[in-house]
Amino acid sequence: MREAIRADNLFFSYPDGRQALKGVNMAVYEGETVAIIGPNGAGKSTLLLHFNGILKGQGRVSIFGRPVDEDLKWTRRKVGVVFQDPDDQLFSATVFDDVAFGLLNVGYPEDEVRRRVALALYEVGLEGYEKRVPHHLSLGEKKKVALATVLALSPDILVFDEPTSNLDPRAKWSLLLGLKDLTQTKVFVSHDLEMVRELASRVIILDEGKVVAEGRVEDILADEDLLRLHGLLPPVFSHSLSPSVINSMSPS
Amino acid sequence: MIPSDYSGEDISRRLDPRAKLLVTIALIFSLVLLPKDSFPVYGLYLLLIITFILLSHLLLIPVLKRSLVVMPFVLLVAVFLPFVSEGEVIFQRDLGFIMIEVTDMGLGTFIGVLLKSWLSVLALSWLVMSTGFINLVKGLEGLKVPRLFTTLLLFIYRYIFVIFDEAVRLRQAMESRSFGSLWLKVKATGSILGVLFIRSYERGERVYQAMLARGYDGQLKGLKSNEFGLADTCFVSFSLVGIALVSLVSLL
Repeated sequence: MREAIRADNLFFSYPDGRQALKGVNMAVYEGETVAIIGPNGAGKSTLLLHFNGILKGQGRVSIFGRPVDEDLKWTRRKVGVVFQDPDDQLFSATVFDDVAFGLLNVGYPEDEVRRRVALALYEVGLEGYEKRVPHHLSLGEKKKVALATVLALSPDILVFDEPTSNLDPRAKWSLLLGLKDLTQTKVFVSHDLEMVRELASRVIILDEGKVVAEGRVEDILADEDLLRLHGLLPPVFSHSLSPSVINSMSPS
Repeated sequence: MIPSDYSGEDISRRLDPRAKLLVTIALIFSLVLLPKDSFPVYGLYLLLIITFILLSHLLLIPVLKRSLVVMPFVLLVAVFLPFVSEGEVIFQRDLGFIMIEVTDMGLGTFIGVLLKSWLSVLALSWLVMSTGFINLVKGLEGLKVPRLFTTLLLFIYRYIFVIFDEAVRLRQAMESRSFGSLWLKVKATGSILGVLFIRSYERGERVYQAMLARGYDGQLKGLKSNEFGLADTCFVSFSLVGIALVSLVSLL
């Protein structure tokens, strides 16, 4: 199997000195869906932004064997990133302008731009939304438009940062089932284990800037001690505020 | 002033925004250059603008209402004009410490300025309400206004609501915990402004990342504007002739 994404010994520090990645080694193979899970502040989002060269740390990141920064234009056409907050990704006045943005940067002719915008909106189930204003969409719709802005460029690898965060179950499952139908290589960051089980074929656990475990989704999700250790399941001794404890504290 | 019709839908889609922009600019210029005391001509201008409004299938009252919004500011600027101009004194009063004199020319200038500003704002209200903000900015783009400016306008339009919502949430959170004095509230409002600024700054960074991720290379690209049709040419020609005729009347 071809390596779609590979990171070797990747280090990254933010300008304020906080070390977000401390030697990450990982690979994503063509056609698989990989979930990167881990607690808040583990460096998951930071890692994602290395896959298309938005952030540049020390170490090596390659896409299909080619270093990300060798040709950033090529990299960004291969790797489509869907950001966590659609209000960051949808910055244009209308849905059409947003989906067309990447296409215009590539330099497609006008009729091809229009065709691809319509197709991408159709793929996410929002056909006819071209004239809508992003501000007036629901969060679920915004997330789907954000996905369409990336799909329009037909990338080979899709990268998602917390695709289901803040969505209610209906909107979440609507998006999730849509994602399941996509055949591209997918990498997503989440702590939504329900989604991980549904979507991922392989799981990588990231904690404190390092890969601490990886394996098939069944094996990782079955290892409750491992998940608990990295703050992905509730602690065992969660009875510290149970009625008996509270009763024993009361003055009577 | 943010137009309230932010659905982005054109109310009268038949005319190119560029045509309406050109006519409005011509109208305002001729209005400003009008001799200030040619009062009957103002009536003709009013008639011309009302014709535009009715042609665009807009209701007269809302347009008139909107046109009055900025008038207090005009009044504030113009209020001293009757007292400081030369000319024959038509009204005089001694307030003890200062002598107030109203001159005929001063009064004429005052009324002229008020009418000119109101008619200009009325024409602009027609332009904005019959075009919609987004189409208006695209019209400016079509008239070769640099894309940097028009994109900036669209960014403001896109994010002003997002930032406003953020401000409302911050204020609600403050109000929920606010029991202190007015001074404490003022201080809290100060920090809310600070937080808003930082959040907007950070959002700007993330939006830029999202732009880079879709191949942005510092060059803003757009689709060609629509064709300038026969209807648009007719509208511009007839309106310009109308404006010219009205201006000629003032010379008689």
